[in-house]
Amino acid sequence: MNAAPLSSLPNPLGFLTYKNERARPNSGSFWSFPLFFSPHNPLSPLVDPVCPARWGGRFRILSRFNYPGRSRPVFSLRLLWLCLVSIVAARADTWTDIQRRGVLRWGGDAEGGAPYVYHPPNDPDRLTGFEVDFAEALCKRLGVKSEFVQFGWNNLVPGLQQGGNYDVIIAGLERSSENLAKIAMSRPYFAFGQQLVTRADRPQVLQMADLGRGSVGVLSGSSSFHLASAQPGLQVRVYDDNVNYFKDLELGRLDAVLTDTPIAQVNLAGNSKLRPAGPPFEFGYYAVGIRSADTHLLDRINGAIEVLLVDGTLEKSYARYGLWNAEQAALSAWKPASSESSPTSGGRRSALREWRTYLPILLRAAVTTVWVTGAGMTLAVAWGALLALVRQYSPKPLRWAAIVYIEVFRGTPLLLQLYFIYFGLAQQFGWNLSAGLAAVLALGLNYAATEAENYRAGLEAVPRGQTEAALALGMTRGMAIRRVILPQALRISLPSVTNDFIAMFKDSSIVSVIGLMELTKEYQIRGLDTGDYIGVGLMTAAIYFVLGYAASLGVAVLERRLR
Amino acid sequence: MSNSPLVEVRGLKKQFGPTVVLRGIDLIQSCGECVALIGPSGCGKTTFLRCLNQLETHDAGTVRISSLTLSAGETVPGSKLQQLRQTAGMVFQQFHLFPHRTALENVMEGPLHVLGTPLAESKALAHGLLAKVGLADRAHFRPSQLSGGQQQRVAIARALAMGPEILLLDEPTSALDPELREEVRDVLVRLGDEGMTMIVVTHDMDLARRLADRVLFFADGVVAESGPAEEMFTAAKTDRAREFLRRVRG
Ligand SMILES: Nc1ncnc2c1ncn2[C@@H]1O[C@H](COP(=O)(O)OP(=O)(O)OP(=O)(O)O)[C@@H](O)[C@H]1O
Ligand SMILES: [Mg+2]
Repeated sequence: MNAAPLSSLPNPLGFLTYKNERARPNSGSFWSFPLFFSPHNPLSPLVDPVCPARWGGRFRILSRFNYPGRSRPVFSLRLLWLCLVSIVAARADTWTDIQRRGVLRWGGDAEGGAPYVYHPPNDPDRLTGFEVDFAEALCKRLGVKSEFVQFGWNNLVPGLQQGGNYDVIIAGLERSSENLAKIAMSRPYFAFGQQLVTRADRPQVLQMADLGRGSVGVLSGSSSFHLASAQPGLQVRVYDDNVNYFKDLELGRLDAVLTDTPIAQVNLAGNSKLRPAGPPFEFGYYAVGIRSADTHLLDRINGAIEVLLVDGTLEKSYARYGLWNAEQAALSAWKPASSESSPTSGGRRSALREWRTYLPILLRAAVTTVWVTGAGMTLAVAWGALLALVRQYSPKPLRWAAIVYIEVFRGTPLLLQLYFIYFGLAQQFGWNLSAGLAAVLALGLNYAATEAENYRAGLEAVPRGQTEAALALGMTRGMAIRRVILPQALRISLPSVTNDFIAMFKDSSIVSVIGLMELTKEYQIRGLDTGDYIGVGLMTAAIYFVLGYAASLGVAVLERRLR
Repeated sequence: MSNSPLVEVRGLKKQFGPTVVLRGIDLIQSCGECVALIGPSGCGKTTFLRCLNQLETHDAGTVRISSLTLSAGETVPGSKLQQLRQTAGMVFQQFHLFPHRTALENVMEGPLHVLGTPLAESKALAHGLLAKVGLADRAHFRPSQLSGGQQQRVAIARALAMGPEILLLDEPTSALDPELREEVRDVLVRLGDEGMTMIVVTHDMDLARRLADRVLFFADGVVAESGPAEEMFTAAKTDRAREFLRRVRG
């Protein structure tokens, strides 16, 4: 990300000047040159320890034009070494970079982001929201331009940790100990609480405990998710955005939604079908997410937020969204708790060592994967057979209908079909399918098109003589197909059907978008929780592999039986 | 033998697109009689046989087998077709056994699923027929586990299981190695001796000589010559038949 582009290397002149402008302190190993020269390093002989912004300037004396008089070859070698090391491990303070660019890039997610960051429906090209206002005020205060970078909310923190194409996160990111273990966070710019929302026709629900064994929708990876998961008996349905769980709540697919107060406020406004269930609770803060190493950027941002809180800028902004309240007013007096841990880079837990905790969680999610795939494939196999028969043997209008079905379902994305079935049918016809049914339907109807083509290949591979032999025995056409052609065609198609079964097994991860907690989604969440993507990943992969392999063995037995 | 013939074909014509294959075939065959059809390749023997059980529809003329009469151009109801095919069983050059079923299941398939004969009865019938074609010990073998001659004998048993009044056989021995032909010939000859009515298309002169009461020589879509088997083989009247017979004998 910050490595010097290789294209600049062939030109020694450009190489040197480029390097001088780019050099930044680094958070990496001691031996990477920026850390060695970093302002915090007592060994650093050259650098003004106070202002890293001047770093580039001070370093410029080393360029070939300004160099006062040491033998150039030695110096060049040293510089070359410095450059190489910094190419490998380059990461300097982002603040220097931001100043040089004159732009602060902030990562957020505009998908279903009202009132945070969103495209207003009446002007979809514009970006608005209280966080847009906050980011712009912040940037103005810092003397740079603001630039929004769209990024999936779930992956904002790992994205920032791994370099990312944004400098900070402004995305309703909670100042939680989990986040603080991974990245640095600014002082709070917003105070929020958890709000339980239910339907107006359920006045008896006032808190989570009142839901019993009911279902609650939460945002994946949010503090609401963790709170709801801790409530015994509650069915937690996980969503990737802040819009669809309200739709499902209205449709009766959910009993409640647990979400942050700003989201609840926006979605409750003018919606007579929904009501808040009790007052907000579990208060927390949103803060700007910053890379652990970017201490100067952190200081700058903290200073700017304090000013914006005191001078009333944020009050004005938030009030426009109806979000200013006593909790926000108290933010200017906020002090970090003395026990607050300073960010440690990583903050990872080893999921493999804690397999007793994580394996059962993953296995529970695997159950969803298995039944969705099992039911989906059963539907696909049966419906696909019917489609293939219609396509192969029925009169023209019906045959065309089958061909259109097959081409449409093969030619459009599964995700689109899933949304269409789950949200589209509810919206248009009021067909309020459960997430499980919608998932099975989408997978089954989609794969049926593929299966139909598999069977067609099988049907066409059965020699004509077989049909004639059957007819010559006095069978009807239907009976000949059923007793003679189909069994042989199925046998021919079986290997392809097996392939598709395993493909669906993996494709079924897509159903997490309608809130089904299947294996891949669980992996994503637990990977995020622990930071141990490899450990959780290995366990997840092992489960997929064992299940997939078991399925293959089962089919192999079936195949041998049929032969 | 009954007074009215079992098979009565009059003026049968058949063409595929512009290719005229059969130009008017007549055949009267009485019950228990075995007829062999011979003639050069491509002269329409198979087509004629397939017209008899309506795997092909004919373009002109009438076909009567037993009590079923089919006129050209008539739309034949499915039930009549099935009845016809039960009356006239067919044995194919390439056997066309059902590869996913055992020999026994192949033979049972018709009685059990088409005629609706109870399972035990179908099974007994199938076992009996397999024994009759000399394959009692191969009942549970799949076609892929049988030799060509054995497969063809299973195919004969399968056709017989429907209780046909006549068997149509299209070159039953020509897909077999010479040493395997004899076992099929023996089965067919025995069937003929038992009074089975048969029409056999064949280039196998040994089969024709042993089986046929009468031989029809096809050429250019018509019956160019016909007569008792012995007479045809020893003293054919037309040059073409003589020429053909000399060539097939080698
Ligand atoms: N379905 C079809 N479509 C078009 N032409 C066909 C069809 N079936 C047969 N024919 C043609 O009809 C003619 C007679 O074919 P048929 O199979 O009846 O000959 P055959 O006497 O049985 O020959 P062989 O001794 O080689 O088996 C051939 O010229 C063949 O090409
Ligand atoms: Mg032929």
